[in-house]
Amino acid sequence: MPEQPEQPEPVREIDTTTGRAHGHDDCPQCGSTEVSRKGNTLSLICGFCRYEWVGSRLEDTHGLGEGIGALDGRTYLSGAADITSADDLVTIKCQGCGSEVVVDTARALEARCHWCRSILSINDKIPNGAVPDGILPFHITKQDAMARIGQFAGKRKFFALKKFRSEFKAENIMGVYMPYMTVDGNVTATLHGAGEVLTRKYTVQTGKNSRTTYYDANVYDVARQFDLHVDDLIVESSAARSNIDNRANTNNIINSILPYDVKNMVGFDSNYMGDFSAEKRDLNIDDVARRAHAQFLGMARESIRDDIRPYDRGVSWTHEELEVHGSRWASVFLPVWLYSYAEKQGDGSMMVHYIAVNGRNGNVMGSVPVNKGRLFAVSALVAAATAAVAWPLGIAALAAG
Amino acid sequence: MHMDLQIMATTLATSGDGGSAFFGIILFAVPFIVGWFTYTTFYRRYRNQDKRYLFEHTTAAQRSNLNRGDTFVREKKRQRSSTIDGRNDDEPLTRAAHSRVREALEPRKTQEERLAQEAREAQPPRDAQAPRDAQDPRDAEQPRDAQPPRDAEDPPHAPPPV
Repeated sequence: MPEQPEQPEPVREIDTTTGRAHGHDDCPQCGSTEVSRKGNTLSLICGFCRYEWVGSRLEDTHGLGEGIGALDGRTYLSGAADITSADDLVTIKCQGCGSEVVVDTARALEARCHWCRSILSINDKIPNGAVPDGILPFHITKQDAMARIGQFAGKRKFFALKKFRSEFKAENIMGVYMPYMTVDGNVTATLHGAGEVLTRKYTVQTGKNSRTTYYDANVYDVARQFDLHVDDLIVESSAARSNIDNRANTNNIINSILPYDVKNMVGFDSNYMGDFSAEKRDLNIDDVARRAHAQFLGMARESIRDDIRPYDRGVSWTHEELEVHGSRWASVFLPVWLYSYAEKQGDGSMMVHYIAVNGRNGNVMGSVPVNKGRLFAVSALVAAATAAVAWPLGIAALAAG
Repeated sequence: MHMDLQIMATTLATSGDGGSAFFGIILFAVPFIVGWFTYTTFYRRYRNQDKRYLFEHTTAAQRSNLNRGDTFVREKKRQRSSTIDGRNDDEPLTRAAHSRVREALEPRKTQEERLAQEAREAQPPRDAQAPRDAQDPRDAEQPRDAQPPRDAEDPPHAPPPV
């Protein structure tokens, strides 16, 4: 019996591992570990010999912006692979002096050797989700972010909690890299419902002093089916941040400074992080896929709105279906300037209020704790002033009637 | 000025029969509405609870292969509302009554092969492979003498001749 040629395995994981051992991430020219980011650029520079080099954009190296229509099944980059280890602490042997240094990957991906002072880095993917595929370095400086946050809070002083006003210091902002996933989707949406087109509008006298407007309309059975190629939808991959509940937290603030220019993300290199801390990814693709698919469906509904404009009385969609033929996932660190303030509420629980600045484009959004007593008093004063004018008029109107 | 306002209210109230009581009630309610509006406006401005990632507007999405179906159903007369009942085309994040999402976790070809294999494995062993000894002897194999003689008459359930 002739042997059948083996079918090649379908590509499901796009390899973004570096194959490099953890430890020195040194200058390619002189071997120094004093490497840092050059200003706000995507360049890295050696602090010893001043040699400069640029990280590679993931879009260019792995073709992430292409072939969305050909996506078939679920594809992911190595950094978005399932988390298989809960160990945050990674021990690195220093290549400079041989001592062992522990890196807490839940907060940072670099540590300085306490003996020889060389910088040790996590240079490749690790199974606890701490190392993403890409990173978008900060573009907004701390001074700029402080000014934006100060301006935002300054416009919201009068009704802010007295303690917040007295303790607010824009210098206390922190730069942090938040974990997200970007997802491309090759989907087909099917929508079905009823639409109405106005044919006549008329007003009739229904009483001595009353009139009623009526509308005649043609009713249609409306169906639409179309393909949608979604490019770089961003979803939270931290369980704490993705829990958006306005009664218990202000995570919607961090959510609202999205999107980012993820097309410009570079392959992860811990030298881009500098002194900034990072939050570790703790959600897998399975955990965030449901939300992403719901967002795909929302995008499909939004994208068809221009096509159903002739239904000037609107459309009532009763059935909607989304088929995800293929998706492509990548994990990424995105930069956020964050100011936080913990408010103790009446029931004893703590509400953490955030003011966040998008570390790339400077968009700012925040939640300022409200002095409800003062706001209520002012609202009551406004109401009383209005009553002082409106009620005499009302009495006059009733008397006249 | 207060006098002028009173004259204005009286004028408005007397401009239509029976409307003055309604107008007076509205004026009594206005301060409460203004107070509530002041409170919620400032609260929203400080807390920004309604802010979110506007992904449906900011994420690049290319639409293609659009198929349309628009079938006239009927005409509706004398509708009081200016919009269709249950309108939701302008609320893309509100899910329709029947909403379904299906995802292909693996490439289509691999999926088809796997499903075919699973279907093959799920089938029970065929009866034809059961031992023939377990089967009852077929009537045809019985000697012809043992069979009842054929009745030449029509069977009792046969339809009557026309």
